[in-house]
Amino acid sequence: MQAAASGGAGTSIDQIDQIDQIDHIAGARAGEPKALASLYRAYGAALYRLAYRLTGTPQDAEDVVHDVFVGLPEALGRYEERGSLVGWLKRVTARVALMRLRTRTRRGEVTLDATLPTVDRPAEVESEALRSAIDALPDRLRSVLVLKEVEGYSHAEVGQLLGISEGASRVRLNRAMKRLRKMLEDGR
Amino acid sequence: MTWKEDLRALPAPEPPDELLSRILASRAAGVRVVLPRERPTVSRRVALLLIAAAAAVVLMMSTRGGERRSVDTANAYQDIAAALPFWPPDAMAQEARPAHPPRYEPVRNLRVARAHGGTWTYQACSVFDDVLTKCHARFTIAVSKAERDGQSVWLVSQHEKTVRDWPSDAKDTIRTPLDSAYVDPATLRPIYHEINGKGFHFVRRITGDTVHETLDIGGAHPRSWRTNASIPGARDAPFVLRWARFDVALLLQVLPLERGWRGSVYSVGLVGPDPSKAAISPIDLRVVGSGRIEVPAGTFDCWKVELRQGDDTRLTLWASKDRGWLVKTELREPDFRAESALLSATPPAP
Repeated sequence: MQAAASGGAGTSIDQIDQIDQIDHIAGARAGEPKALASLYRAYGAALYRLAYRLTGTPQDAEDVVHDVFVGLPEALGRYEERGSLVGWLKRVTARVALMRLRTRTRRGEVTLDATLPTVDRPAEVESEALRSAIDALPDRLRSVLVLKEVEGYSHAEVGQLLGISEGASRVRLNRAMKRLRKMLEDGR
Repeated sequence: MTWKEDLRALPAPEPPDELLSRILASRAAGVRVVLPRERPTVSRRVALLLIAAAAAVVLMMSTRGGERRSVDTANAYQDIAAALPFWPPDAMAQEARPAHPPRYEPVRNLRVARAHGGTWTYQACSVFDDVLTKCHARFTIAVSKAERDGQSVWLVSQHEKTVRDWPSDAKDTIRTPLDSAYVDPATLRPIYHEINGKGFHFVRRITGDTVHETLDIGGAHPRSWRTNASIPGARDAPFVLRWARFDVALLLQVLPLERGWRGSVYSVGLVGPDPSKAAISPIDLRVVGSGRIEVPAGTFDCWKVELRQGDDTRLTLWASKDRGWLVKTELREPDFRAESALLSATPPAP
């Protein structure tokens, strides 16, 4: 890595990043803490945000990212380095977050996050309204909305992640949008 | 900006600073997590064809008849373990996997003065596919002050009554034997546990960090074992007897539950004839929410506590905020749910 980084003429920043990443993946596969920490610094925040948007609570997001990185060295054995690493990591994170959602019930009780002081939340009122409306969506609708509209997955990919058909993903997104729109209009 | 753009621009919190060190500490402590694999895409039609083919094979095999394999009488362990009324049955005679290290710090700062006696009766229900509900079991947990070897202890017991309506429609009432334990009130460590069933006698004594297990089975093929195993963790740390709901119920009374609280305790299951395969592993507890829960015994403000054992088992417990009563439990699987809810309590709910 050092040789590549000090690189000769013609080694672009992208190539250096690529080489760094390959090194980090190899190191993380071998269970090296430094390599794992480098991958965390590069992708941890993005994965945490994805987990937070899917689960709706910082505690669950923290546990999801913890589990993803603790399991990463062994899981990297299945990463074939064909697609982008961040795309693969996001799919793994989404699956772990969705597994967590499935084990969670939301009947009657308030999630801990909903009781946290609002200083932890976005300051703007409109953002807050949108955030609250998303939180109020049932898990099965929120997960489609987040994966499709925030993360930019196609319906086919959302269907694959959630174990539903592409058509069901479209229907759920439609329902999520309708509910969201209604909640935002009612809140005005 | 459209609201879709707003959605994408919606801020989310940053991960806490200590998360990386928590991850590295877990790895260093030997924690391993098996992440889900990518699912191969299978079309609905192919899936239906596969299901149909599997059904045909099952049908063919079931109509072939033939001799059933006889029970392996040499394997006394599975036979004996299956006779014990642990719940759920994954404590029984499974091949033990390497112990999972605790996810959290050991529980501490127990509010032992909050522990109190009483009797709590629960209704246990199973729900299949969110449709078929069976509520055929009731169990009662009793906690009282007692003495053992001149020492003040908590005597905790549980008995269960189940109505069985299979294989025919005739309803049989089955009462499982009384399950009792003495618990040290200062540390919440069980010191003696006994189940006296029809045809078997099962005892666990705990001295220091060792559990001494004794099992005697009578009847036509009497068998028994005497075995010991070490209990990990500090000698004054509380632990629970796996799947015996009563000691979790007592522990909940004294845990300093609050927002964000988490802690791990060891659970001690069946040691069996091979102590290297003893079912001793941590259970990880975490407050994940709070809410008002309505059960037949009343309405309670509760902490919602997630109980995890290894990677597979997740149980949700609701503990009342005022006295730490176990109000409700829920075990959720993709197509199955087991719930228990408080029916009545003595003394009655405040």
